[in-house]
Amino acid sequence: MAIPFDIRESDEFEISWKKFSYELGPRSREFDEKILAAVRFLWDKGPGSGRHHGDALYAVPVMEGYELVYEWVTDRDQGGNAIVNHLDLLPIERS
Amino acid sequence: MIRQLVRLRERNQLTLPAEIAEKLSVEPGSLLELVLSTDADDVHVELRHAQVVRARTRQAKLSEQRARKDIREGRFSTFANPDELALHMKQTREQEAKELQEQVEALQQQVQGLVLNMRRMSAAAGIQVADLPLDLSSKV
Repeated sequence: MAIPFDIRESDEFEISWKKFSYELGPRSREFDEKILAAVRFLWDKGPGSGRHHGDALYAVPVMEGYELVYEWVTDRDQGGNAIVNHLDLLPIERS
Repeated sequence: MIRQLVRLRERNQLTLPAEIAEKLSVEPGSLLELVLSTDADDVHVELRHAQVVRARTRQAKLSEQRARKDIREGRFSTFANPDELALHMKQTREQEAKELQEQVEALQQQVQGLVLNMRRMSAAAGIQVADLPLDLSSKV
């Protein structure tokens, strides 16, 4: 059974997304498609599918020179129960 | 060129000869990429040392830290599923395109104003200058 979770997109991600898109120019559409494909993959097959538990960090190359980090965090209450499941999109810039 | 003969074992396992492993700078645990390509006459298999992209640069770490701080401090958008994220990205792109269009139109107006001024001034001064098309919209 799938665990419902939210995708959180930080302002830093939004800024990097626009910056990278500018750099990529006409390939920005492809960039968007690859980001979404990676998110959908994680949604369908990743921790949200219920097969994995606990915190995890996934670095997914999106296009040459760029990758995104998907940070799956299971917040817990004091009793150790999961209260929030979410997936963060963090930008990564390779030098 | 190094050419070595290897025998395939059960479950399709083979041993990479030490000389080739050394040349590739690989060791147990390294990731290798096999590329199979075929053409009309032959089948080629290429073995490469695969590089898995991992964010470990200082710049990358700083970027991650900033993103985590954003999230801790509430500077983020939440989407319930990938479709919502896709819609957000599409709308952002459309908004960007609209803003760019507005900027282009503003620049066109400025250029048109400059061309009119240039015509007036050159007429007043009796100077012959190369003219520019007044309507630039069709050029964009």
